[in-house]
Amino acid sequence: MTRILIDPNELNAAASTLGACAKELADTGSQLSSNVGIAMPAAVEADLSALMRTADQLLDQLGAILHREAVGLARRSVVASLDSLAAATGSTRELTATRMGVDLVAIGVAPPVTASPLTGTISAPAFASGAAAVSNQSGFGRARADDTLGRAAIATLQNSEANKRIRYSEYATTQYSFGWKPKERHNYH
Amino acid sequence: MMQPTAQAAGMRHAAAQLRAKAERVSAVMGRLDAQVGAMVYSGPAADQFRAVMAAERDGLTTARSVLGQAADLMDRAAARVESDPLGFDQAWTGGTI
Repeated sequence: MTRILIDPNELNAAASTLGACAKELADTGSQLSSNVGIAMPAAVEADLSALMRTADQLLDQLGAILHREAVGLARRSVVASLDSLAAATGSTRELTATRMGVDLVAIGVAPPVTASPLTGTISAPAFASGAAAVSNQSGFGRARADDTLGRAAIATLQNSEANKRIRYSEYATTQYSFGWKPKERHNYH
Repeated sequence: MMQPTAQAAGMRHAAAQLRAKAERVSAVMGRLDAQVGAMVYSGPAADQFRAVMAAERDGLTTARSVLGQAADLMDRAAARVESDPLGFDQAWTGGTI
């Protein structure tokens, strides 16, 4: 039997670490161009440019992977929180999400619902645009450190109502709590 | 035209900066190692996550190595400029010093 162990708080912390590391790599890559602009023999400059391009592309790719994993962990954290609450209340993930004000479509957990004349058009997942913006920020010499959209996507997931409420709600004391402590619950209520 | 000594100093400075960037990549690796190693997260998704992170580590090792090569290149070029400040030897290239 496969053992599955998920601690949303741990995933949150890991997502933060990965997000910070992705930003660090982006910062490092965006500063590489400053090393090529100095006076040096032409032959050296050609070799250095080739190495810088390789490093820049690598850092871009690695940063994008870290960012993608960070968002994935943050998303799983939200899902685990919702499922914990749903299990504790005999509800479903979807109903719990609605009750908690979590838009499963917006965070990419549920597929977009087909537009209906009665309900109107549901917008595309906001998260997807953030991820795309990061992966497109590549190329030697471009400034990519300001990953505003990507960080906003992670922050949105981590600060979702489900994640906030699980920490402070009465459900955190149940057997489904995955180890959370019911700290400051009165602050929420 | 820039003096050869100034040019060499600039290249050594660039080499130091590149080494610092390689160190930053090493620091990122260390931070990721510590984070992933401490996680109790388990299951199929966790296995996949760890596999991705292992590949990420390999990539970071390569990136660090490339930055180190670039730093070495700059140091060698600076030494060459210092040893031949008037540029009598026009045949040398950065990659074959």
